[in-house]
Amino acid sequence: MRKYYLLIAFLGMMACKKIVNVDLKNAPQQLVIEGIVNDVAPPTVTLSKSVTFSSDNSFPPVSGAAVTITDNAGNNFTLTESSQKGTYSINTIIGKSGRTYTMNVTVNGTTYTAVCQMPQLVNFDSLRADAITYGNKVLKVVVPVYTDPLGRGNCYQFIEKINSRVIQNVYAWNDNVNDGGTNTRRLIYSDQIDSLNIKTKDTVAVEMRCIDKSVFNYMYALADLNGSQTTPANPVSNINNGALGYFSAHTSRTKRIIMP
Amino acid sequence: MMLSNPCKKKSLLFLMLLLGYIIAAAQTKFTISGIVKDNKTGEVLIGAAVRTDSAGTGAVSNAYGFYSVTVGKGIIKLWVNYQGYKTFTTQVNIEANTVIDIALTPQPVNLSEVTVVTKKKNDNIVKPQMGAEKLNMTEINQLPVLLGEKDVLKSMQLLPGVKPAGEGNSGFYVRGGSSDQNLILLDEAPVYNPSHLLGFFSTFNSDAIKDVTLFKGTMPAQYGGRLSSVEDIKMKDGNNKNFNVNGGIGIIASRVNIEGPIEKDKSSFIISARRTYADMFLKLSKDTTVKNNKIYFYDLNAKANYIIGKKDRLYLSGYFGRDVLGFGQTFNTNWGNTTATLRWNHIFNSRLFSNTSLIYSNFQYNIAIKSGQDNLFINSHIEDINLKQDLDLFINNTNKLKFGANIIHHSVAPGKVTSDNPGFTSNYSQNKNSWESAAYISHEISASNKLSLIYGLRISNLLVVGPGNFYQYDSAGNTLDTLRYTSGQTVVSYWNLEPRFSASYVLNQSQSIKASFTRNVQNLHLISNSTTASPTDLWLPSSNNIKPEIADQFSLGYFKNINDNKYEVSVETYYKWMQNQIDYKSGAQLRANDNVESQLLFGGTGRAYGVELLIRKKTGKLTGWIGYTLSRTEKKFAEINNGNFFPARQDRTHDISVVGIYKLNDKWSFSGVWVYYTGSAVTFPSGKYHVNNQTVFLYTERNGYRMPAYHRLDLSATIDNSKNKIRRYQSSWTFGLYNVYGRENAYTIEFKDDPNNPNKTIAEQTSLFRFVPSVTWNFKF
Repeated sequence: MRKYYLLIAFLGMMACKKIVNVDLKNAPQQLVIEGIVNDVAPPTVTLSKSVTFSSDNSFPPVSGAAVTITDNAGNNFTLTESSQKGTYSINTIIGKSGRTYTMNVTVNGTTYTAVCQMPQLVNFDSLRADAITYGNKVLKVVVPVYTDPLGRGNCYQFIEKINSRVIQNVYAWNDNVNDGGTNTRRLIYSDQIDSLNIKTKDTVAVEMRCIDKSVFNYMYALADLNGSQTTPANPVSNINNGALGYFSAHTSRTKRIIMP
Repeated sequence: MMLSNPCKKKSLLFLMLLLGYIIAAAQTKFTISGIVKDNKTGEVLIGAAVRTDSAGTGAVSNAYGFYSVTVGKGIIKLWVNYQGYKTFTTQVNIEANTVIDIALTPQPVNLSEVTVVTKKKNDNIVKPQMGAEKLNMTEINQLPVLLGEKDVLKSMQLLPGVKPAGEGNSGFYVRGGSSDQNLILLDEAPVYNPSHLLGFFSTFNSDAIKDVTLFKGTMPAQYGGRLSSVEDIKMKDGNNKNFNVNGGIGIIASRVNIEGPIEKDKSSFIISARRTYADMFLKLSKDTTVKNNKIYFYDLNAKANYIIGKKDRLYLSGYFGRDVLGFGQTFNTNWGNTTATLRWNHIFNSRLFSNTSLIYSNFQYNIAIKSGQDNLFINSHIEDINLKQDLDLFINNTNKLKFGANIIHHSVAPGKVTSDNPGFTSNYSQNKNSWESAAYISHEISASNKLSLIYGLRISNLLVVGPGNFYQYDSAGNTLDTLRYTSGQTVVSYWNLEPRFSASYVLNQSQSIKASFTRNVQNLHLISNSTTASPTDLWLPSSNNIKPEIADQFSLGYFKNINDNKYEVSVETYYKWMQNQIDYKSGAQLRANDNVESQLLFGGTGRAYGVELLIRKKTGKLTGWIGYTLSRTEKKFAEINNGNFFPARQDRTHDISVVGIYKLNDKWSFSGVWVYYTGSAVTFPSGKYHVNNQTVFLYTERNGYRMPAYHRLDLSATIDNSKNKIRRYQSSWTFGLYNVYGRENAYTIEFKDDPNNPNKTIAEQTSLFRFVPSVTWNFKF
């Protein structure tokens, strides 16, 4: 739809953009939880609060919470707050594919719980450079090469970094199209500011995550909020008791490429 | 049993009495029937008033120009009149049923204000039908429009109760309904995507259109299938006397229209074509990025008809339109409608008129995306085949019966994704097959001089059949059960009764009150969670999960004509209650998803109510109208806004349109349109948070905010160079300016991180179309 939208703007010729003041309500502060368990690094849980629209983009961390993660193999871990306020972790464990993890976060007497199963690993074979040509403009992109296991239900998320800068696109894919095939779909990042796009000699790093369906739904909804024309709503979280955010147990593999 | 017998006897007796009455009437009275047509072109005239000096109220010609009036024996005087034509009068000695075909002569334009036609100008007062508007094509062609492309759907949005879906958009909302709840018929064929270029132009080339009638949800029983309105658009038949070529050249599109007889007075054809050339402007660009893009649409209307004898006539009409959009090799798409209608009119006798139609309609889209060496293709279509039989029985001057039946086969291919890479696994969403059938009867009766009624009943059925898998879901959208059906096996069948009722009570010759009740049922649903129309939006029939949508509407109106019918004033109010409405889960995955129904929210209700005020001036140098609507539309879903009513997107509190056409002299005419409406109900953020390395906005309620109010003034001037009317060649120029005072109406408001200060967030408004000039040259020879 984004493509259509640009075209509409072009058709308008006189289409103009301006910053406007919108009188927005101030929702009460809400707890935001981002919990991650993967198979390469220790688990981390980040707690913060929402702010009003007109505030700065600095989100108050939530300290002094009790955070635990248990798995279905009978292990029970307590995460402790690190020197960075609001970030909780434990260094002694790493997640395993196939296990189901339960996160419990207790803040001011309320406990927030989420359950997530870490999917089986799908190999990240390679990262390939590609380009999209629009007339005389060339947009450099990358293709994560992997072969999806046959049978619907595999979900993926890709995190793309250009020279260590994490880009804002949310890539949440499933295998509804090309189930069991080798991926050829591209990670298309196209910024209106041309200098931000991928250039020759840039290092592009992509983390491929095999994610649970509930996390896929969350990420898909998040992607949908970014610039599409749907009526926006908060993505459905897999954490209970009204917390914002998500808890994801996923596999993680990263590949890098220096762009030709 | 004991009770039912006397009842049956009574109704049988009643039927016999009625029949006896008709037969008795037939013996002492005769009918005059025939076809009303244009003297110069042979086009049949729809809705011409036929009156006699014999007792009774007279008749109106039907959709095929056929009329039938009952008269006594002896010398009868007959008057026929139709707006824009000279009144026809004749005197005949009637001793048997008589056929009189009537050819009306068009009124020279400059005489229209001096000639006082008959008194029968108060049709709007006496007709029982309410919530209906017949659009005047001449008027439509004079209104200023975006880029000079005259457009029936956009002109219709200037009527009270009809609201545009957005800036320059041919999508519209009628009395709180969404845009997929409008049944848009082109020669009886439903047009599934009535817009070009993502909504900026409608698919209807006004050169090819003869007549447009709009029913704001109050349609009589012969129409069905959508909740909120019917737009019945009829194509011209083609001149069966002379060849004619007319057309126009505008800044965005050119049109040409050719019509003429195949065999004089017996058969004719018409072909209208239109193509836009926005892409020609792209070619002028030095930037090859822009140069290699494609953006255009074209459409073709064609119709032919053949008069077989005194009793039979065949019509074949068709439409084909395509939009093409492409970015070099990278992304190419095209979409469009195809419709075809074959009709057979048969006059059984002077009272019974029959039309049989075979109708085809198809909407499809194709997308090709180049990805590396591979090409990915996405295709989808909806296809209808409809067989329809309609009968008009003119019992006498006060009783008219319409009845008929139809059966439609809907076939929906929701989408398939394929690739030319042999390693690619294609994705086919299952085709969905269903049969939609209906039977109806509608009785129009003038019960007394003051009271007229149209009442009727429509029985509709949707039969969903295999082959295919049908799923049952839990509330989270997980598949609970998969039911497999073989070809032709019944999955589910929905029966519905749709009563239709409309009445008028004439207080005096210039005042009346009208009331109506209608129930409408909709079995095809447009699945789209987007706020803008897209050709890739999906139509799905009702299923085991999706129930038929139902709307009940009550309306009441007061109608008054002032100053010898020069001014019409009307006030209509309505209350509409909707059941089985559909909405979407947050982040609904609607594309390439066989489980698309798991992404929907069901069982919503809706309510819409409002008052519509219209003041119209129909004659004189200055004509036009002022329309005002005060309304509210709300929806309720258990899963949204804690189960409370929330304003629907189409909720607009105030809506004003002012339309004026001023004819200075034979040469110059001017027109202006001013519109104002309350901004749409929208969802804006009430906070923000940080997750997944980005700022995410926090939403607290559905549609709790409003877009800024919309208003705009458009003007146009037409200079007609055809001073010498006898000369065959005529031409005119139209100059227009859209959004004269350059109001920056908000098209979208987007919330995002400030690119200049990543620590802040901003709201950015996009506006389209300020001061858009246009010029069109029209010709005729």
